[in-house]
Amino acid sequence: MSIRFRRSHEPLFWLLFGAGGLVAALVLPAVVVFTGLIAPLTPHSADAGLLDYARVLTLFASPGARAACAGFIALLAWHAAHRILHLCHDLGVHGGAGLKWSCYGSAAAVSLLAGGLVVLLPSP
Amino acid sequence: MTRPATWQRDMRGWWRRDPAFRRYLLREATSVAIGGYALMLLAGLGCLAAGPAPWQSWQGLVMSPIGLLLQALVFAAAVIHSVSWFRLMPLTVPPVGRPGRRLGDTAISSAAWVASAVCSLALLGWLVYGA
Amino acid sequence: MTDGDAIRLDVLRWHPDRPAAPWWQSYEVPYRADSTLLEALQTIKDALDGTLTFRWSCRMAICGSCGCMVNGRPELSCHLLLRDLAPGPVRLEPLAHFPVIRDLVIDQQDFLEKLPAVGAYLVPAADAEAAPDTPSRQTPAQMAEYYQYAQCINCLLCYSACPQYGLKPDFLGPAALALMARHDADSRDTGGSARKAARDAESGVWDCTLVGHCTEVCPQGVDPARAINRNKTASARDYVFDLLMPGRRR
Ligand code: SF4
Ligand code: FES
Repeated sequence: MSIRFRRSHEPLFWLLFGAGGLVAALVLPAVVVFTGLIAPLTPHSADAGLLDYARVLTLFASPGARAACAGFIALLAWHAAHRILHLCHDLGVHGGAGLKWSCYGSAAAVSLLAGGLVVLLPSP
Repeated sequence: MTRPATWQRDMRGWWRRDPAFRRYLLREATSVAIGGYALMLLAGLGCLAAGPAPWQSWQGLVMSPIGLLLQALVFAAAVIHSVSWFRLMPLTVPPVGRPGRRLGDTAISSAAWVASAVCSLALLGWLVYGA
Repeated sequence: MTDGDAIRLDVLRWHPDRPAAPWWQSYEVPYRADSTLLEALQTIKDALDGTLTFRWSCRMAICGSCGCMVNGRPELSCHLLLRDLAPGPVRLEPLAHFPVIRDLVIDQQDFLEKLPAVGAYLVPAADAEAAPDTPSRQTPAQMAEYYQYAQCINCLLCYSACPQYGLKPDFLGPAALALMARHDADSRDTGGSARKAARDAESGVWDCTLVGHCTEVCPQGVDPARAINRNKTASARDYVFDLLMPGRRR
Protein backbone atom coordinates (compact mmCIF):
# COMPACT_ATOMS: atom_id res chain seq x y z
CA MET A 1 0.00 0.00 0.00
CA SER A 2 2.93 2.33 0.47
CA ILE A 3 3.65 4.75 -2.38
CA ARG A 4 7.11 4.99 -3.94
CA PHE A 5 8.45 8.46 -4.63
CA ARG A 6 11.06 9.62 -7.13
CA ARG A 7 12.69 12.99 -6.81
CA SER A 8 11.45 15.47 -9.40
CA HIS A 9 13.70 17.73 -11.46
CA GLU A 10 10.93 20.31 -11.57
CA PRO A 11 12.79 22.59 -9.08
CA LEU A 12 15.31 23.51 -11.77
CA PHE A 13 12.62 24.71 -14.16
CA TRP A 14 10.48 26.12 -11.39
CA LEU A 15 13.33 28.31 -10.15
CA LEU A 16 13.88 29.69 -13.67
CA PHE A 17 10.12 30.16 -14.05
CA GLY A 18 9.99 31.93 -10.71
CA ALA A 19 12.94 34.19 -11.49
CA GLY A 20 11.36 35.14 -14.80
CA GLY A 21 7.98 35.65 -13.17
CA LEU A 22 9.48 37.88 -10.51
CA VAL A 23 11.41 40.01 -12.98
CA ALA A 24 8.33 40.29 -15.20
CA ALA A 25 6.12 41.24 -12.26
CA LEU A 26 8.62 43.88 -11.17
CA VAL A 27 9.33 45.70 -14.44
CA LEU A 28 7.57 44.20 -17.46
CA PRO A 29 4.64 46.66 -17.45
CA ALA A 30 7.13 49.53 -17.42
CA VAL A 31 9.18 48.03 -20.25
CA VAL A 32 6.07 47.56 -22.39
CA VAL A 33 5.01 51.12 -21.63
CA PHE A 34 8.41 52.22 -22.89
CA THR A 35 8.45 50.30 -26.16
CA GLY A 36 4.75 50.65 -26.86
CA LEU A 37 3.90 54.11 -25.58
CA ILE A 38 6.76 56.36 -24.54
CA ALA A 39 9.05 55.60 -27.47
CA PRO A 40 6.37 55.91 -30.19
CA LEU A 41 4.98 59.11 -28.62
CA THR A 42 8.35 60.80 -28.39
CA PRO A 43 9.12 62.74 -31.56
CA HIS A 44 11.37 60.58 -33.68
CA SER A 45 12.87 60.50 -37.14
CA ALA A 46 15.31 58.23 -38.93
CA ASP A 47 18.26 59.44 -36.89
CA ALA A 48 16.78 60.82 -33.69
CA GLY A 49 14.44 59.66 -30.95
CA LEU A 50 14.54 57.32 -27.99
CA LEU A 51 15.05 54.27 -30.20
CA ASP A 52 17.62 55.88 -32.45
CA TYR A 53 20.23 53.29 -33.49
CA ALA A 54 23.27 55.07 -32.09
CA ARG A 55 21.45 55.98 -28.89
CA VAL A 56 20.34 52.41 -28.16
CA LEU A 57 23.85 51.13 -28.83
CA THR A 58 25.17 53.70 -26.35
CA LEU A 59 22.61 52.51 -23.79
CA PHE A 60 23.83 48.97 -24.20
CA ALA A 61 27.52 49.81 -24.39
CA SER A 62 28.39 48.54 -20.93
CA PRO A 63 28.78 44.81 -20.23
CA GLY A 64 26.38 45.16 -17.29
CA ALA A 65 23.58 46.55 -19.45
CA ARG A 66 24.19 43.86 -22.05
CA ALA A 67 24.11 41.05 -19.50
CA ALA A 68 20.94 42.48 -17.95
CA CYS A 69 19.29 42.72 -21.36
CA ALA A 70 20.12 39.13 -22.29
CA GLY A 71 19.17 37.91 -18.83
CA PHE A 72 15.85 39.70 -18.98
CA ILE A 73 14.91 38.16 -22.33
CA ALA A 74 16.11 34.70 -21.26
CA LEU A 75 14.19 34.74 -17.98
CA LEU A 76 11.00 35.87 -19.70
CA ALA A 77 11.42 32.94 -22.08
CA TRP A 78 11.92 30.41 -19.27
CA HIS A 79 8.93 31.81 -17.44
CA ALA A 80 6.74 31.56 -20.52
CA ALA A 81 8.00 28.10 -21.53
CA HIS A 82 7.22 26.64 -18.11
CA ARG A 83 3.74 28.12 -17.94
CA ILE A 84 2.86 27.27 -21.51
CA LEU A 85 3.90 23.66 -20.88
CA HIS A 86 1.60 23.44 -17.87
CA LEU A 87 -1.15 25.32 -19.69
CA CYS A 88 -1.07 22.70 -22.46
CA HIS A 89 -1.41 19.99 -19.87
CA ASP A 90 -4.28 21.84 -18.18
CA LEU A 91 -6.10 22.16 -21.50
CA GLY A 92 -5.77 18.44 -22.15
CA VAL A 93 -2.91 18.63 -24.65
CA HIS A 94 -0.62 15.84 -23.51
CA GLY A 95 2.50 16.30 -25.58
CA GLY A 96 4.62 14.04 -23.40
CA ALA A 97 8.38 14.40 -23.38
CA GLY A 98 8.35 15.95 -26.87
CA LEU A 99 6.29 18.92 -25.76
CA LYS A 100 8.36 19.30 -22.62
CA TRP A 101 11.63 19.43 -24.52
CA SER A 102 10.30 21.75 -27.19
CA CYS A 103 9.11 24.20 -24.53
CA TYR A 104 12.29 24.17 -22.49
CA GLY A 105 14.40 23.77 -25.63
CA SER A 106 12.91 26.98 -27.04
CA ALA A 107 13.68 28.80 -23.81
CA ALA A 108 17.24 27.51 -23.91
CA ALA A 109 17.57 28.58 -27.55
CA VAL A 110 16.24 32.06 -26.76
CA SER A 111 18.75 32.30 -23.90
CA LEU A 112 21.67 31.26 -26.08
CA LEU A 113 20.65 33.61 -28.88
CA ALA A 114 20.17 36.54 -26.50
CA GLY A 115 23.51 35.81 -24.84
CA GLY A 116 25.28 35.56 -28.18
CA LEU A 117 23.66 38.66 -29.66
CA VAL A 118 24.58 40.99 -26.81
CA VAL A 119 28.18 39.88 -27.28
CA LEU A 120 27.95 40.66 -31.00
CA LEU A 121 26.46 44.15 -30.51
CA PRO A 122 28.73 46.72 -32.20
CA SER A 123 30.22 49.35 -29.93
CA PRO A 124 28.66 52.81 -30.37
CA MET B 1 -9.26 -5.90 -0.90
CA THR B 2 -11.91 -5.51 -3.58
CA ARG B 3 -13.11 -2.01 -4.23
CA PRO B 4 -16.77 -1.25 -4.82
CA ALA B 5 -18.04 -0.57 -8.31
CA THR B 6 -17.84 3.14 -9.03
CA TRP B 7 -18.56 5.79 -11.59
CA GLN B 8 -16.35 8.79 -12.25
CA ARG B 9 -16.79 11.86 -14.37
CA ASP B 10 -13.94 12.77 -16.74
CA MET B 11 -12.16 16.12 -16.77
CA ARG B 12 -13.32 17.39 -20.15
CA GLY B 13 -14.03 21.13 -19.98
CA TRP B 14 -13.22 21.30 -16.25
CA TRP B 15 -12.73 25.09 -16.43
CA ARG B 16 -16.41 25.51 -17.13
CA ARG B 17 -17.21 24.34 -13.61
CA ASP B 18 -16.07 27.41 -11.70
CA PRO B 19 -15.14 31.00 -12.56
CA ALA B 20 -12.11 30.57 -10.29
CA PHE B 21 -10.75 28.05 -12.79
CA ARG B 22 -11.16 30.49 -15.66
CA ARG B 23 -9.38 33.21 -13.69
CA TYR B 24 -6.56 30.72 -13.12
CA LEU B 25 -6.33 29.92 -16.83
CA LEU B 26 -6.31 33.63 -17.67
CA ARG B 27 -3.39 34.08 -15.28
CA GLU B 28 -1.54 31.17 -16.91
CA ALA B 29 -2.34 32.45 -20.41
CA THR B 30 -0.50 35.71 -19.71
CA SER B 31 2.64 33.63 -20.30
CA VAL B 32 1.80 33.37 -23.99
CA ALA B 33 1.86 37.16 -24.33
CA ILE B 34 4.99 37.40 -22.20
CA GLY B 35 6.73 34.76 -24.31
CA GLY B 36 5.72 36.59 -27.48
CA TYR B 37 7.11 39.83 -26.12
CA ALA B 38 10.38 38.09 -25.26
CA LEU B 39 10.60 37.00 -28.90
CA MET B 40 9.90 40.56 -30.01
CA LEU B 41 12.75 41.83 -27.84
CA LEU B 42 15.03 39.05 -29.10
CA ALA B 43 14.26 40.04 -32.69
CA GLY B 44 15.06 43.64 -31.78
CA LEU B 45 18.35 42.57 -30.30
CA GLY B 46 19.15 40.65 -33.48
CA CYS B 47 18.31 43.65 -35.66
CA LEU B 48 20.36 45.93 -33.43
CA ALA B 49 23.35 43.64 -33.86
CA ALA B 50 22.76 43.44 -37.62
CA GLY B 51 22.97 47.19 -38.26
CA PRO B 52 21.01 50.43 -38.67
CA ALA B 53 18.78 49.29 -41.55
CA PRO B 54 17.41 46.12 -39.89
CA TRP B 55 17.02 48.09 -36.67
CA GLN B 56 14.99 50.67 -38.55
CA SER B 57 12.62 48.04 -39.90
CA TRP B 58 12.23 46.41 -36.47
CA GLN B 59 11.35 49.82 -35.07
CA GLY B 60 8.84 50.28 -37.86
CA LEU B 61 7.16 46.99 -36.99
CA VAL B 62 7.10 47.72 -33.26
CA MET B 63 5.54 51.15 -33.85
CA SER B 64 3.13 50.00 -36.54
CA PRO B 65 -0.57 49.93 -35.60
CA ILE B 66 -0.49 46.14 -35.29
CA GLY B 67 2.69 46.29 -33.24
CA LEU B 68 1.12 48.82 -30.88
CA LEU B 69 -2.09 46.81 -30.60
CA LEU B 70 -0.17 43.66 -29.72
CA GLN B 71 1.82 45.59 -27.15
CA ALA B 72 -1.41 46.85 -25.63
CA LEU B 73 -2.35 43.18 -25.18
CA VAL B 74 1.07 42.41 -23.71
CA PHE B 75 0.64 45.32 -21.31
CA ALA B 76 -2.72 43.97 -20.13
CA ALA B 77 -1.16 40.53 -19.68
CA ALA B 78 1.80 42.02 -17.83
CA VAL B 79 -0.48 43.87 -15.42
CA ILE B 80 -2.55 40.74 -14.74
CA HIS B 81 0.71 38.90 -14.20
CA SER B 82 2.07 41.48 -11.73
CA VAL B 83 -1.16 41.67 -9.77
CA SER B 84 -1.52 37.90 -9.46
CA TRP B 85 2.19 37.34 -8.85
CA PHE B 86 2.37 39.77 -5.94
CA ARG B 87 -0.95 38.56 -4.53
CA LEU B 88 0.30 34.96 -4.42
CA MET B 89 3.85 35.79 -3.40
CA PRO B 90 3.17 35.47 0.37
CA LEU B 91 2.13 31.85 -0.20
CA THR B 92 5.49 30.99 -1.70
CA VAL B 93 8.07 32.86 0.37
CA PRO B 94 9.22 31.17 3.56
CA PRO B 95 7.84 32.72 6.76
CA VAL B 96 9.65 36.00 7.52
CA GLY B 97 10.50 36.85 11.13
CA ARG B 98 10.42 34.80 14.33
CA PRO B 99 7.54 32.53 15.41
CA GLY B 100 4.83 34.65 16.97
CA ARG B 101 5.90 37.76 15.04
CA ARG B 102 5.65 36.65 11.43
CA LEU B 103 5.40 39.24 8.71
CA GLY B 104 1.85 39.40 7.37
CA ASP B 105 0.74 38.79 3.78
CA THR B 106 -0.19 42.42 3.18
CA ALA B 107 3.27 43.57 4.27
CA ILE B 108 4.94 41.15 1.86
CA SER B 109 2.71 42.10 -1.06
CA SER B 110 3.08 45.81 -0.36
CA ALA B 111 6.85 45.52 -0.15
CA ALA B 112 6.80 43.81 -3.55
CA TRP B 113 4.72 46.63 -5.03
CA VAL B 114 7.08 49.23 -3.64
CA ALA B 115 10.03 47.31 -5.10
CA SER B 116 8.20 47.14 -8.42
CA ALA B 117 7.57 50.89 -8.46
CA VAL B 118 11.19 51.68 -7.58
CA CYS B 119 12.63 49.27 -10.16
CA SER B 120 10.21 50.43 -12.85
CA LEU B 121 10.97 54.11 -12.32
CA ALA B 122 14.71 53.48 -12.25
CA LEU B 123 14.52 51.44 -15.44
CA LEU B 124 12.34 53.98 -17.24
CA GLY B 125 14.65 56.76 -16.13
CA TRP B 126 17.60 54.89 -17.59
CA LEU B 127 15.77 54.08 -20.83
CA VAL B 128 14.63 57.68 -21.35
CA TYR B 129 17.53 59.71 -19.97
CA GLY B 130 20.34 57.13 -19.98
CA ALA B 131 22.11 58.22 -23.15
CA MET C 1 -39.06 34.57 3.66
CA THR C 2 -41.80 32.79 5.54
CA ASP C 3 -41.87 29.31 7.03
CA GLY C 4 -43.55 26.87 4.70
CA ASP C 5 -41.46 27.74 1.64
CA ALA C 6 -40.18 24.97 -0.57
CA ILE C 7 -37.02 24.73 -2.64
CA ARG C 8 -36.12 22.44 -5.50
CA LEU C 9 -33.02 20.27 -5.23
CA ASP C 10 -31.62 18.70 -8.41
CA VAL C 11 -29.49 15.75 -7.40
CA LEU C 12 -27.09 13.88 -9.65
CA ARG C 13 -27.65 10.22 -8.86
CA TRP C 14 -25.81 7.03 -9.72
CA HIS C 15 -26.42 3.48 -8.55
CA PRO C 16 -24.19 0.46 -9.18
CA ASP C 17 -27.18 -1.58 -10.33
CA ARG C 18 -27.88 1.07 -12.95
CA PRO C 19 -24.27 1.64 -13.94
CA ALA C 20 -24.62 2.87 -17.51
CA ALA C 21 -25.05 6.56 -16.68
CA PRO C 22 -25.88 8.89 -13.82
CA TRP C 23 -29.20 10.72 -13.89
CA TRP C 24 -30.67 13.91 -12.48
CA GLN C 25 -33.56 13.74 -10.06
CA SER C 26 -35.49 16.71 -8.68
CA TYR C 27 -37.06 17.02 -5.27
CA GLU C 28 -39.32 19.77 -3.95
CA VAL C 29 -38.35 20.14 -0.28
CA PRO C 30 -40.14 22.25 2.35
CA TYR C 31 -37.81 24.20 4.60
CA ARG C 32 -37.71 26.67 7.49
CA ALA C 33 -35.54 29.68 8.15
CA ASP C 34 -33.03 27.57 10.06
CA SER C 35 -32.96 24.52 7.78
CA THR C 36 -29.62 23.37 6.43
CA LEU C 37 -29.02 21.69 3.11
CA LEU C 38 -28.19 18.48 4.98
CA GLU C 39 -31.59 18.63 6.67
CA ALA C 40 -33.22 18.89 3.26
CA LEU C 41 -31.38 15.72 2.19
CA GLN C 42 -32.58 14.03 5.37
CA THR C 43 -36.14 15.16 4.64
CA ILE C 44 -35.89 13.57 1.21
CA LYS C 45 -34.53 10.34 2.66
CA ASP C 46 -37.17 10.16 5.42
CA ALA C 47 -40.25 11.37 3.58
CA LEU C 48 -39.76 11.46 -0.19
CA ASP C 49 -37.25 8.91 -1.44
CA GLY C 50 -35.49 6.41 0.82
CA THR C 51 -33.09 5.37 -1.92
CA LEU C 52 -31.16 8.64 -1.95
CA THR C 53 -27.74 8.00 -0.42
CA PHE C 54 -25.40 10.50 1.24
CA ARG C 55 -22.95 10.64 4.15
CA TRP C 56 -23.31 12.70 7.29
CA SER C 57 -22.60 12.47 10.97
CA CYS C 58 -22.03 15.55 13.11
CA ARG C 59 -24.41 18.08 11.46
CA MET C 60 -22.04 20.82 12.68
CA ALA C 61 -19.21 21.09 10.17
CA ILE C 62 -16.65 19.17 12.17
CA CYS C 63 -16.74 15.51 11.07
CA GLY C 64 -16.11 16.27 7.41
CA SER C 65 -18.36 13.58 5.97
CA CYS C 66 -21.16 15.54 4.26
CA GLY C 67 -19.17 17.16 1.45
CA CYS C 68 -20.74 17.47 -1.99
CA MET C 69 -20.80 19.85 -4.94
CA VAL C 70 -23.41 22.55 -4.43
CA ASN C 71 -24.04 24.54 -7.59
CA GLY C 72 -20.62 23.43 -8.78
CA ARG C 73 -18.67 24.34 -5.66
CA PRO C 74 -17.48 21.88 -3.01
CA GLU C 75 -19.34 22.51 0.25
CA LEU C 76 -20.32 20.85 3.53
CA SER C 77 -24.06 20.34 3.19
CA CYS C 78 -24.56 20.82 6.94
CA HIS C 79 -22.81 24.18 6.70
CA LEU C 80 -25.23 25.77 4.25
CA LEU C 81 -28.62 27.29 5.07
CA LEU C 82 -31.34 26.72 2.50
CA ARG C 83 -32.49 30.31 2.86
CA ASP C 84 -29.12 31.39 1.48
CA LEU C 85 -29.63 29.10 -1.51
CA ALA C 86 -33.21 30.29 -2.19
CA PRO C 87 -34.95 30.57 -4.55
CA GLY C 88 -33.05 27.65 -6.04
CA PRO C 89 -33.03 25.25 -7.73
CA VAL C 90 -29.93 23.87 -6.01
CA ARG C 91 -27.68 21.61 -8.05
CA LEU C 92 -26.19 18.78 -5.96
CA GLU C 93 -23.48 16.46 -7.23
CA PRO C 94 -21.00 14.10 -5.58
CA LEU C 95 -17.59 15.59 -4.78
CA ALA C 96 -15.65 16.08 -8.01
CA HIS C 97 -12.53 14.06 -8.90
CA PHE C 98 -13.49 11.03 -6.78
CA PRO C 99 -15.01 7.72 -7.83
CA VAL C 100 -18.69 7.66 -6.89
CA ILE C 101 -19.96 4.65 -4.97
CA ARG C 102 -23.59 5.72 -4.97
CA ASP C 103 -25.40 9.07 -5.34
CA LEU C 104 -23.49 11.60 -3.18
CA VAL C 105 -21.21 9.01 -1.58
CA ILE C 106 -17.65 9.01 -2.89
CA ASP C 107 -14.76 6.59 -2.39
CA GLN C 108 -12.08 8.18 -0.16
CA GLN C 109 -9.69 5.24 -0.43
CA ASP C 110 -7.16 7.19 -2.49
CA PHE C 111 -6.83 9.87 0.17
CA LEU C 112 -6.66 7.31 2.95
CA GLU C 113 -3.68 5.69 1.22
CA LYS C 114 -1.94 9.00 0.68
CA LEU C 115 -2.31 10.21 4.24
CA PRO C 116 0.25 7.77 5.73
CA ALA C 117 2.56 8.39 2.75
CA VAL C 118 3.11 12.02 3.79
CA GLY C 119 3.99 11.08 7.37
CA ALA C 120 1.00 12.90 8.84
CA TYR C 121 1.86 11.98 12.40
CA LEU C 122 4.11 13.40 15.07
CA VAL C 123 7.59 11.89 15.33
CA PRO C 124 8.87 12.84 18.80
CA ALA C 125 12.57 13.27 19.57
CA ALA C 126 14.29 10.17 20.91
CA ASP C 127 14.49 11.49 24.48
CA ALA C 128 10.80 12.41 24.46
CA GLU C 129 10.05 8.91 23.24
CA ALA C 130 12.17 7.45 26.05
CA ALA C 131 10.23 9.35 28.71
CA PRO C 132 6.63 9.15 27.48
CA ASP C 133 5.14 10.64 30.64
CA THR C 134 7.03 13.93 30.54
CA PRO C 135 5.12 16.69 28.80
CA SER C 136 6.47 18.08 25.53
CA ARG C 137 6.15 21.78 26.17
CA GLN C 138 5.27 24.26 23.47
CA THR C 139 4.84 28.02 23.60
CA PRO C 140 1.73 29.65 22.09
CA ALA C 141 3.96 31.15 19.39
CA GLN C 142 5.27 27.69 18.51
CA MET C 143 1.74 26.35 18.38
CA ALA C 144 0.63 29.20 16.12
CA GLU C 145 3.17 27.96 13.57
CA TYR C 146 1.08 24.89 12.71
CA TYR C 147 -2.31 25.52 14.34
CA GLN C 148 -4.05 26.59 11.14
CA TYR C 149 -2.87 23.47 9.28
CA ALA C 150 -4.00 21.29 12.17
CA GLN C 151 -7.63 22.32 11.71
CA CYS C 152 -8.16 19.95 8.78
CA ILE C 153 -11.22 17.71 9.13
CA ASN C 154 -10.41 15.52 6.09
CA CYS C 155 -13.58 16.59 4.33
CA LEU C 156 -11.81 16.46 0.93
CA LEU C 157 -13.49 19.61 -0.38
CA CYS C 158 -10.03 20.84 -1.38
CA TYR C 159 -9.49 17.77 -3.59
CA SER C 160 -12.70 18.56 -5.41
CA ALA C 161 -11.51 22.14 -5.84
CA CYS C 162 -8.19 21.03 -7.32
CA PRO C 163 -8.16 20.46 -11.09
CA GLN C 164 -4.60 19.13 -10.84
CA TYR C 165 -5.84 16.28 -8.65
CA GLY C 166 -8.55 15.59 -11.21
CA LEU C 167 -6.01 15.64 -14.05
CA LYS C 168 -3.24 13.80 -12.19
CA PRO C 169 -4.74 11.27 -9.76
CA ASP C 170 -1.30 10.45 -8.31
CA PHE C 171 -0.99 13.98 -6.88
CA LEU C 172 -0.91 13.71 -3.10
CA GLY C 173 -3.25 16.67 -3.01
CA PRO C 174 -4.01 19.68 -0.82
CA ALA C 175 -5.07 18.19 2.52
CA ALA C 176 -2.36 15.51 2.65
CA LEU C 177 0.34 18.06 1.82
CA ALA C 178 -1.09 20.55 4.32
CA LEU C 179 -0.91 17.83 6.97
CA MET C 180 2.68 17.17 5.95
CA ALA C 181 3.44 20.85 6.53
CA ARG C 182 1.48 20.77 9.78
CA HIS C 183 3.81 18.16 11.25
CA ASP C 184 6.97 19.71 9.80
CA ALA C 185 6.02 22.99 11.48
CA ASP C 186 5.50 21.42 14.90
CA SER C 187 8.34 22.22 17.32
CA ARG C 188 7.92 18.76 18.95
CA ASP C 189 8.37 16.93 15.68
CA THR C 190 11.61 15.42 14.36
CA GLY C 191 10.17 13.57 11.36
CA GLY C 192 10.89 16.21 8.74
CA SER C 193 13.61 14.33 6.86
CA ALA C 194 11.39 11.27 6.41
CA ARG C 195 8.72 13.39 4.73
CA LYS C 196 11.07 14.87 2.14
CA ALA C 197 10.84 11.99 -0.35
CA ALA C 198 7.09 12.53 -0.67
CA ARG C 199 7.48 16.30 -0.72
CA ASP C 200 10.15 16.36 -3.45
CA ALA C 201 8.34 13.96 -5.80
CA GLU C 202 6.40 15.00 -8.88
CA SER C 203 3.25 13.76 -7.15
CA GLY C 204 4.31 15.70 -4.05
CA VAL C 205 4.38 19.48 -4.17
CA TRP C 206 5.41 19.61 -7.85
CA ASP C 207 2.08 18.57 -9.34
CA CYS C 208 0.59 21.76 -7.87
CA THR C 209 0.26 24.79 -10.17
CA LEU C 210 -1.15 27.09 -7.50
CA VAL C 211 -4.69 27.26 -8.76
CA GLY C 212 -5.46 28.23 -5.17
CA HIS C 213 -9.11 27.17 -5.16
CA CYS C 214 -8.39 24.62 -2.38
CA THR C 215 -7.78 27.43 0.06
CA GLU C 216 -10.94 29.24 -1.07
CA VAL C 217 -13.25 26.29 -0.42
CA CYS C 218 -11.72 24.95 2.79
CA PRO C 219 -14.35 25.26 5.56
CA GLN C 220 -11.62 25.25 8.21
CA GLY C 221 -9.31 27.96 6.90
CA VAL C 222 -6.47 25.47 6.53
CA ASP C 223 -4.85 27.19 3.51
CA PRO C 224 -3.38 24.14 1.75
CA ALA C 225 -2.14 26.36 -1.11
CA ARG C 226 0.25 28.08 1.29
CA ALA C 227 1.42 24.81 2.82
CA ILE C 228 2.20 23.35 -0.60
CA ASN C 229 3.84 26.39 -2.14
CA ARG C 230 6.06 27.12 0.83
CA ASN C 231 7.17 23.54 0.55
CA LYS C 232 7.95 24.08 -3.13
CA THR C 233 10.43 26.75 -2.05
CA ALA C 234 11.87 24.41 0.57
CA SER C 235 12.06 21.52 -1.89
CA ALA C 236 13.76 23.70 -4.51
CA ARG C 237 16.27 24.94 -1.92
CA ASP C 238 17.16 21.37 -0.98
CA TYR C 239 17.43 20.46 -4.66
CA VAL C 240 19.98 23.19 -5.26
CA PHE C 241 21.96 22.38 -2.11
CA ASP C 242 22.06 18.70 -2.99
CA LEU C 243 23.22 19.58 -6.48
CA LEU C 244 26.05 21.79 -5.18
CA MET C 245 26.98 19.57 -2.25
CA PRO C 246 26.39 15.94 -3.14
CA GLY C 247 26.41 13.76 -0.07
CA ARG C 248 25.05 16.52 2.15
CA ARG C 249 23.16 15.11 5.14
CA ARG C 250 19.52 15.99 4.79
S1 SF4 D 1 -7.69 21.13 4.03
FE1 SF4 D 1 -9.74 22.01 4.40
S2 SF4 D 1 -10.91 21.42 2.58
FE2 SF4 D 1 -9.11 20.08 2.62
S3 SF4 D 1 -9.77 18.23 3.73
FE3 SF4 D 1 -8.86 19.61 5.26
S4 SF4 D 1 -10.58 20.79 6.09
FE4 SF4 D 1 -11.30 19.84 4.19
S1 FES E 1 -22.19 16.34 8.89
FE1 FES E 1 -20.25 16.52 9.81
S2 FES E 1 -19.30 18.03 8.58
FE2 FES E 1 -21.33 18.01 7.80
